[in-house]
Amino acid sequence: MEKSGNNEQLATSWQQIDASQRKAECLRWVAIGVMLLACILCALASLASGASNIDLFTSAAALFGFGTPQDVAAVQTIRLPRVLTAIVSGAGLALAGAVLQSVLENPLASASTVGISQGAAFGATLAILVFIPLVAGTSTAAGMGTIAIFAFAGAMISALVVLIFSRLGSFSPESIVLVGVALSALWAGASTIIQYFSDDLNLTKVIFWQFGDLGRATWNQIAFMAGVLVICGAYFFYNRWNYNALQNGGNVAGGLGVEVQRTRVLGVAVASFTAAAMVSFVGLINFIGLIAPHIARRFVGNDYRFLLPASLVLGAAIMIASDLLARMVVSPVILPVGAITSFLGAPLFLYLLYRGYKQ
Amino acid sequence: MMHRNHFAETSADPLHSHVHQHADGTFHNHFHAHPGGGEAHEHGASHGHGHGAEPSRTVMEAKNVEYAYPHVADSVFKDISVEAKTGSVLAILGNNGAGKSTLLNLLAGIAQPKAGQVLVGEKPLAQFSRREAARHIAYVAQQQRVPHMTVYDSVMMGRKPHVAWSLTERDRQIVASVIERMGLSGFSQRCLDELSGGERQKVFIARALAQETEVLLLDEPTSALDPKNQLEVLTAVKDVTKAGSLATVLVIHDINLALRFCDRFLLVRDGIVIAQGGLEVVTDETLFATYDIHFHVCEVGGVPVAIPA
Repeated sequence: MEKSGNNEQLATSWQQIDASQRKAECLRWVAIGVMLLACILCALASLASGASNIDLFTSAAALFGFGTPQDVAAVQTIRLPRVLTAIVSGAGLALAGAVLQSVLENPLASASTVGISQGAAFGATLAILVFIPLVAGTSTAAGMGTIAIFAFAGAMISALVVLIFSRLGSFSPESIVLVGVALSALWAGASTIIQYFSDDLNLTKVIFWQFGDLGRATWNQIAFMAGVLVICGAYFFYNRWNYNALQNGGNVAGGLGVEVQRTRVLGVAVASFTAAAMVSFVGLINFIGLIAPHIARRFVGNDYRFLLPASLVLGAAIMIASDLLARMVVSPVILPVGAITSFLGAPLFLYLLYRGYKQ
Repeated sequence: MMHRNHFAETSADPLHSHVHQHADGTFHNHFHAHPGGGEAHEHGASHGHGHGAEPSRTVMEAKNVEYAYPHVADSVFKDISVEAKTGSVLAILGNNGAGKSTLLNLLAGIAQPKAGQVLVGEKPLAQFSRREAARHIAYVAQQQRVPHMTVYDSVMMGRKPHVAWSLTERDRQIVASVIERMGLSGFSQRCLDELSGGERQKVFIARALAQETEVLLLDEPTSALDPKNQLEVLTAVKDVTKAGSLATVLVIHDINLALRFCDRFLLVRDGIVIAQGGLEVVTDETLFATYDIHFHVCEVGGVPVAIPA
């Protein structure tokens, strides 16, 4: 009798553990649901704000083709692409950041802190100032594509350097970011030299590219970015258990059956590809990849089963909100959205450094 | 197969039959999903060195292994042979730099031997994929990163080698049962970085147990723990080893803990095996040969101890 009583008590206890875990997981999904709701609200607010005064309901109706032709035109051809660009690029940059943080075993990693975005910026500069004037001529049709390809190449070179350095010995969280600092300086220096020899008109183009602009992408480009987001996002989600294991360090992950080298190399490559695809079309929009995953971690913890969807939704939401803010602060002037995200991200970055040292 | 019946006798737990349905031939895993197993250990332990439940099997074998660091001519050790047997806890004892941890790394497949080979079952470890190896060998390193994760999520990572897409009901039962078994019930939703060193070590061992392997390798599992936690952790490891068909190998510096909790010993001095075998090989002479200081081995209250003389 005593024996079975003991067994019952023990059985209840593991069931309690299981129940509390299921409750915790349920709460995480609720948190993601709330984030999604916030994202949708931001998107609607963004659709409803602009040069012409169209209220929330009118703009929602115009989205589906109802209302006056002017309203429909404003919402469908100007505001909708802008919001979609914000959603896709924000989501992509946030996912890339979340994955980089795991595969580099570094909470400070993101496309803009390890030098990937800066590599893209140099690529774009090179394309605008050297390649297009000398080779492609001044036809703007091919321009955007060429800039994107160059930006992409620059980003991937940065990714390669980061990858090599992350393999050289045991790197502390701060030092991989120092690699990013060095890379950024290198790219900036190279850009400066090219800019020094260029004319004012092209220089303006470079400056504007670097500001970051969500209104620049065409429908085709949005479709391309969305395709990259879907494919790379699926790859990330497929690897979520590997990213979870890597958070415990490479050795432990290896002991848990993770092909550590392959996961790392492919993780950095695919994350860089994602970030590069976004940055190439929208320009330098920094820190989204840092802000979104870290806020997501606060609410859903560090389990990538939850962190990836949460980062995706939050990245989109923060990008839309930043864009909304950029348009409202000194309306009707539209501030560069990259400035807003930097103002949000840099303090967070400093806070993470501070907290890291406190631990 | 005997041990299945053995468990059935002592269990009144509905979980047990459920796990049976799902046990896909890996019968060595039962102790995990078996919260009522407390009685089983005592039962097994009373029969001595794990022979109560089933005959001890050799699940892993290092044959004449030699290791040298890359680009170094001299070997750390050569010609060491060692077996991991179910129901048995093997202690690797030796001076600092003797090659204990390196040997453990070879057994874990983290390092590759220069000569000789490590066999798991009949198959060389070198032929295993990482995932396959992780289903046979669980390794708890001495130093581990402490991620900001809950205890449950950390232990859940032990299921990583088995998970295809998402956690099954059986995975969840095993995780919860292991947490329970390691005495971490009250902590399951706490974060690892809020726990004491002893509790963390229990989490790491729980994660290894959740892997449901045949071999458990521990690198100095008690070096950072206070006496209470040392006893708790090693008691848990010994119980689990005796109860299931698990073979444990641990590197340890504390001779008295080794004498108390282990039943087989490998004494190494600078890469040379001094003695290998049961409790009888740990003598005043072999300990002197290993550590270069005089010990006196005697029994205090039925427990063998080694006192520096």
